[in-house]
Amino acid sequence: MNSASEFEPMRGRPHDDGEPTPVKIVVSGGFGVGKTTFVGAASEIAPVRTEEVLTDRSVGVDDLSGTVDKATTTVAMDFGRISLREQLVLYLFGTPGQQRFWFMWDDLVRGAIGAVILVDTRRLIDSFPVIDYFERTNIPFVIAVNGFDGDFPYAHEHLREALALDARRPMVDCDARDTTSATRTLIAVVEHALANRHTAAPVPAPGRNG
Amino acid sequence: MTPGEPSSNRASPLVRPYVLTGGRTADEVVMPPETLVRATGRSPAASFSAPSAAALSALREGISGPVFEPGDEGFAVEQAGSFGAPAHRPLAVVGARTSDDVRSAVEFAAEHGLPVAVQSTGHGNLSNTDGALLISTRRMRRLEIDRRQRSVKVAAGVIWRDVIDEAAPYRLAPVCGSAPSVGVIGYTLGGGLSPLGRTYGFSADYVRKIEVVTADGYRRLVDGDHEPDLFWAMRGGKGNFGVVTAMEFGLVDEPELYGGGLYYDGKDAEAVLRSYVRWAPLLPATMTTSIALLGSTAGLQLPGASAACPLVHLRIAHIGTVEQGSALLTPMRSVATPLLDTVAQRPFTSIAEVHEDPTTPIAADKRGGVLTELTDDTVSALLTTMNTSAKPVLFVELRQLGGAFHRYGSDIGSVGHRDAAYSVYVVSAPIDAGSSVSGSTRLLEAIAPWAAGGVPVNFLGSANAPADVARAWDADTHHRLIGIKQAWDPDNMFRFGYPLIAPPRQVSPEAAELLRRCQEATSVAELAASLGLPLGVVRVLLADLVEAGMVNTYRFDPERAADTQLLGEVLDELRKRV
Repeated sequence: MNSASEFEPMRGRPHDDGEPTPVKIVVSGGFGVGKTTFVGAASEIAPVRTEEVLTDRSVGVDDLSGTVDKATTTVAMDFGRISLREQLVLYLFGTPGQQRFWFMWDDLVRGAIGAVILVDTRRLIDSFPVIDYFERTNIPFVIAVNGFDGDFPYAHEHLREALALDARRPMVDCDARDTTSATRTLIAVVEHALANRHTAAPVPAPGRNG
Repeated sequence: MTPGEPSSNRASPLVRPYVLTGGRTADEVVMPPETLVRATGRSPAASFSAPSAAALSALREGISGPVFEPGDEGFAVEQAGSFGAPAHRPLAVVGARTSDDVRSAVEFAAEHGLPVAVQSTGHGNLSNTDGALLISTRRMRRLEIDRRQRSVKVAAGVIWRDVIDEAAPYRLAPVCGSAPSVGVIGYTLGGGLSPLGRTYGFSADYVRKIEVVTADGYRRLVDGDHEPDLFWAMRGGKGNFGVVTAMEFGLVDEPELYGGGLYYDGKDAEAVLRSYVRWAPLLPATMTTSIALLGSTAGLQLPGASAACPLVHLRIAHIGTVEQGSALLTPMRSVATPLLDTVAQRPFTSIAEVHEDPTTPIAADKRGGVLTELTDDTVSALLTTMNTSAKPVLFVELRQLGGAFHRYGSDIGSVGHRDAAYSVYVVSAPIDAGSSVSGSTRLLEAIAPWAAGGVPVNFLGSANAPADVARAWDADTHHRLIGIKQAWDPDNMFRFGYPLIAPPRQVSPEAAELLRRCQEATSVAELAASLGLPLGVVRVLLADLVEAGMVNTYRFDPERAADTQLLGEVLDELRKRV
């Protein structure tokens, strides 16, 4: 223990060598689309899951020591980490799937530099509400078509049409199990965020019927 | 909720079921899961359990003086001291009679991990001593004059009156405080702005030796040759370093005192103060002066005084002949007709007549500062605040510094702000439930343009948090004091009164585990996962640790999500990985 740091921190603390910066990218998509797999592939650590415990507001709040009773629900979130350089760490968070927890997404996407929306071409309809959600935020996002076993049967233009996406919305193919592929997808997100930076207005959302 | 509708107003009935120790809920803690957390290095309090009844009775047996526990007859009186400190609930009060008693008490405290508070007359502003061991030194009234050495050795509980009276037969005098009922030790450890200070300097400048029981339970004699750092620190660093059991300091030849006070009617306040502004800077160091405004509730009734106005009280202590003194005072005697003039040649034993400090304690908010100059504008700001503040100011005092106060040298202690021109001390009604700012704070704000930003440690008054205490010295002196404090009292046993270091807090086992895991910057999500605790729990634990100064959190500023340079760096680093 550095004893010089015991006193009231009035002037800078001696062993505060610069402020670390956490950045994050959110990985979203419909249920079972491969979010957990993607986060695990891109992450330098084994995929980790953290939990948020929620309770019905009407039950009231319990104290820390209180036991988790029947009125509570546990929501799991996958996350991963990529240490980019000293003091710069990228975190990946998979959005919790069930729709009733979407209010938690607001917390999660706040401050994200971008998002990946994974799409399974066999279940496009599952992606609609997710895309709707992100279009209503200002978070730059890319559509990543998760081709299982390198299988990408549909051309991007068809998917774009089916998903009612603007022509400028980036779309990439990826294999959620593959580290390089997942990393390339993240690169696409950051590139888009940089490009988006120059065309400040969010991409308008055409009508979409789920 | 309709999917796809950002629920920024959080309409969901679901909440995180945790509350902070401060009563806030986890939902109020803004701490996204990627927030990085790093321990600051400040440690939590070592956990301790209150000593057993058997241990306490062993303490009683080892102390020659009385030991009071809550509920014992005399506990309240002993705890409050003669100046009526607020009622706290220390674990026990040791009524020390000897330095051995003090040593036994400190040893006992060290053994049980207890913090130690010290009090003699209780003129200091003792912070909350709940659970501490309070050592009351007021029974230790021995003193010995050494005529040949022109010095006195006083035990911990001696008051200025004792020294003044004992020294007088030898035609010697202490460089004492304005109020003889104040304890010598606490006053001197804080420097001591004597009413003779322009002639003689700070009371602390006269200290030759200090006998102190340090946190390790040893009694030490410190002086210029023995533990000189500690000796330096204690002459101005207040009670942070140990329990003083005795102090030896030099006396001066009994001064030829021409002193007393001039009281002016409040309607003359502006004229008197403006004259003082011009008159005081021209005075030689043989004259020490101060000027006070006494609010209407001061209780001093003088015939002919205008009821609603504050009285002006000019205090004079001149060392020299009556002729010299009265010549110097002539301008102030003629600026307005004083309601009362007590300035005269007088024996040194009546030094209390110079300030006529009140001797009855009042519950009040007290604050101080130092000024670099005093101008007509300062006077206007002072009077305007005094007369218009909704929060009444009871008392404002400006003491002229300079002269021997200004002395610097390698032989002097750690007293701060020696170069200030004036000190200021303000007393107002305590902060009540309806307000967060006291009258004294308002007044100090009004004269801030002339303030140097510091405050004499003995005038800190109610402002006794370590951040306030730091203002009693320049940054270098404060830094050196902190270093010496850490060397001599690493566990911060002496943390009451005007503490240099904030007391450590105790934390829960979960929080202690969190602290262990964030020695390097770690995200909230990782901490939660590795501890197997829900995010909400971890947020709450962390919020408490942040408040206790034990961890720093580094959140990503959402504004930076569009920071081109940052995005560029992220992109470069990601590209290196494919």
